[in-house]
Amino acid sequence: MTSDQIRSALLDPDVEVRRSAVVGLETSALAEAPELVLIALGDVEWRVRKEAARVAACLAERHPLVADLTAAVSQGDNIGLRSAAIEVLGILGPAVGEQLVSALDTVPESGRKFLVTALGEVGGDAVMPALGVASRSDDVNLVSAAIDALVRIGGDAAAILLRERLTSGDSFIHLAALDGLDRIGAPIPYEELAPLLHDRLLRTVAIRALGRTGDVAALPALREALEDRSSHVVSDAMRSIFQVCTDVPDAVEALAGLMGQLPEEGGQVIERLVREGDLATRRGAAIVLLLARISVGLPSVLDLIANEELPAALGLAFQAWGRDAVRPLLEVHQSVVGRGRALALELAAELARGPETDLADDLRTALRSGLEDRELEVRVCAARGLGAFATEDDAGRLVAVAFGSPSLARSASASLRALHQRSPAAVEKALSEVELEGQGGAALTKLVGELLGARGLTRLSAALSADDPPTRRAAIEAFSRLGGLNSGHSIVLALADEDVDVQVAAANALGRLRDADGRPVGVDQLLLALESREPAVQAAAARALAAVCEGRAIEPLRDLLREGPPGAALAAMESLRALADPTLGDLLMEALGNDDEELVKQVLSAIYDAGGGRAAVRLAVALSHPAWDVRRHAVMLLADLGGEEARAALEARALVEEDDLVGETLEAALGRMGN
Amino acid sequence: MSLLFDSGPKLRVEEFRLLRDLINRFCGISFAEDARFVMERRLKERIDALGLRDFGAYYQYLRYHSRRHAELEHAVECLTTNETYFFREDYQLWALRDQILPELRERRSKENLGNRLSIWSAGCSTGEEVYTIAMIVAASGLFDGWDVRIFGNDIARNVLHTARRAVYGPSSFRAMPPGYERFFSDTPEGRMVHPRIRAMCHFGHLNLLEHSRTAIVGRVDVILCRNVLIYFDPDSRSDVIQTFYQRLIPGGYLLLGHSESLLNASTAFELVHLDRDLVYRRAASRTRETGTDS
Repeated sequence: MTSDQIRSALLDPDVEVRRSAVVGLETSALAEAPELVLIALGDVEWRVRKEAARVAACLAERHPLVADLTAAVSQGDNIGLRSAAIEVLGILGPAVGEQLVSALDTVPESGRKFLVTALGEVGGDAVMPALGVASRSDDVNLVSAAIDALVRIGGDAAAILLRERLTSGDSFIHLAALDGLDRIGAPIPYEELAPLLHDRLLRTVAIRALGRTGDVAALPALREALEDRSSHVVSDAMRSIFQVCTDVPDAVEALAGLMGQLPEEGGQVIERLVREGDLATRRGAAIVLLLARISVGLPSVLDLIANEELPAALGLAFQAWGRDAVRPLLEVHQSVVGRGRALALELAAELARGPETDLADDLRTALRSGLEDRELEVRVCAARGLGAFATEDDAGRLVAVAFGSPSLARSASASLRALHQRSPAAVEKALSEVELEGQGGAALTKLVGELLGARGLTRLSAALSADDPPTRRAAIEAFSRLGGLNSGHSIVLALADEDVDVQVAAANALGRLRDADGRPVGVDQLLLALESREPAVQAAAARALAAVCEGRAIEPLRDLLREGPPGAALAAMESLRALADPTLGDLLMEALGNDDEELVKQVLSAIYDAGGGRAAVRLAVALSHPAWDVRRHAVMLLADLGGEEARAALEARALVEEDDLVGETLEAALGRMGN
Repeated sequence: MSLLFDSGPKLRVEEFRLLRDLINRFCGISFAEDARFVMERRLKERIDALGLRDFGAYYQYLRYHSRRHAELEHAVECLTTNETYFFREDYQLWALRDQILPELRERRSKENLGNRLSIWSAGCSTGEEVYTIAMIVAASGLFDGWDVRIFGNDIARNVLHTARRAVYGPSSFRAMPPGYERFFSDTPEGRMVHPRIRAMCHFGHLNLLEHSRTAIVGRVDVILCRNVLIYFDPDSRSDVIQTFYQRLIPGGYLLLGHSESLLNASTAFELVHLDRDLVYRRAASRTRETGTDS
């Protein structure tokens, strides 16, 4: 399109025509492109402005646009144009920071606050001093814009500047700074907040900030806030309670001690907050509701955790209620549906554990009924919960339900294992009659192996031929626990199974198995398995051969390391290390260039094992590996290796490392090395 | 496994990062740092089911095993599936019933676009949304005699099995409005969707990031993608929205979850204010076939 066509299209009444014209500008070589995109930045429709902002940022790489954008920011007429220009500057980022800071002295006073806003979008170290100055200005509008800009930038430097303003002596500035700290989620020490809690203007925001103190000292103020007349304050207090209870291990217990009696209407407010509002508020309200033992709100709590997981703090609140929560949970479990009902049963069972009380009968009845529920999830939870309360009669019941699904089978098995400790004969009888096949086959086979031992041999042999691969896998694992040559012979044949995971289980088992004289079984077959077409089988065979210290494996493992698929090569590397291959060093430098990060980490560990004068230098090379986990592994090995070379390499890396987790590991490593 | 007391393998911070990155590369879903404990709790069952030792072994399984793709799908299913039910977030469904469907009916007739209605439920989980839409279409009577196709996809195969089975327990009916029971019949295992409704519904296994495979869906009149985009990182979200744009007919509607928007993701859609909801529409203008989306 020519510039005239684009200019005309930008005036078209159809939004889509104007937006398309802007998109066309992106690849345009027209000299007028910057001028045209500036027109589009001032369009009345946000979709056109948004597209223009993206295109303008691209054009800014080829055309000097920053001065025009600065002018667009500081003009006072077209708000859409100003916002779009700020957005473009934000996309251009810290590279234009110094240019904008310089412009602060030249723009009209009325436009300065807008330019400060743009500094917040741009970010970077260069703009921080200017924002610090603006945040201490006498012009309230400028202060407000500077605080907003600091919030946009976020981070420690911005938080420090904002916290400085908490001691300004001006409530308005306190409020803006507190609100800003809230928006960037910066922690504030309780001592800095305590004086602000009694200021009516600041109270709401200060309550919110209490959540970020990471200090149980904040809890009395939060408990008091629960009785505030403002629902906003109560809601903010809930959020803060959840945060403190999540951040501080003893907070739930401390809050339980402060809870006391809540006014009746308070209970209704809390129950409503569990159902409504954002997730943190709902979770905080649930903690309060449990600590205040308001059983009428339990369905809402169950509904919350049914969809959003059970956070640890909420689990602690249930524990604080303890056995007294069991009856209320049993009462509500019939009235809630789906996962909520399952959770009610399981929580009741977990909280009721301990010495037998009159609760046990009611619980048993509910759990047995849960085993027949229409919903699978309820049956799974009932099966899991029954373990601690089951009687002899339940052994057959649990075996029967195990065939409903694999997860149900695992739950029922866990309960049968628990029941076996109290009533071994009943469980063994139930297991001796069951067919080890189908949905419950794997879990029950495992159990037969564990509980019946050699008495279950015939059944386990049959399970090795089950139609279901997980059952065959479980039979192999059971045989490997039994040990002995006969077990070994059965397992060796499974290396020829048609299912990969069964073959893997067989190789793993052979790595553990020894005959009566303590010798490994099936080594020749494991050597053959190194040639399998399945990388998972090759890997399992490699590890098994290392576990049985088989020297004949070294040569084929070297080949596997050089030419095998990634998973198998990784296992070969691990195994060669374990077998202390004397020529491994020759392979290491070659393997260090492998694309697979897991393999490279193993190579680094091997370099560390070998030690020697060059180890630190070789490990240090990996500090600039593109994968964060390789760099982190190298950091840990260098720290363990110690010495001046290692420390110098870590210090140099610490200056440029951008990954948070690697950065933390570097800091800990240098601390450990006495930096 | 225990709800209240620590048990089973722990997910260490670096294992969380490795698993998170792997899953993100697989399907674009991203997890924030605070999702570590949710991931730990939800994936423990997979470790147990596969007979693995810990999360390190699970990571290696997902990286190297010949069944890694199927297991990645399992993992995604464990991590993203929340309970769903018929007529969930019903205000949006009433907007579909009262305004979008009548408008589509009228436009298709007026513009001779054929007696066909296609709706795509992207990320349909266990199928309740797909059948809900089908019931609404059937109950409206607007499309009697039309070729109506409602397609649901998910990345997890297990949920599709449930969807195809079309038998549901009581928890799926928690928000069922009166008048729709007639579309179900009782069975010993639960309530089954009526064959007439099932005939309108189709299911498929699609990863929304596999752009070329999504062409299987064809061009559709409406896409519902509710509470799915929240799981994606920004780049993947843009890719998925691009796919939706291309799958929608000009003037077709995109309905997102109540906390989701296209702001900062696409300018290619118009925001439409309906009586009960805000929805997005692929622009039906003079340039509609240029596909100038970004």
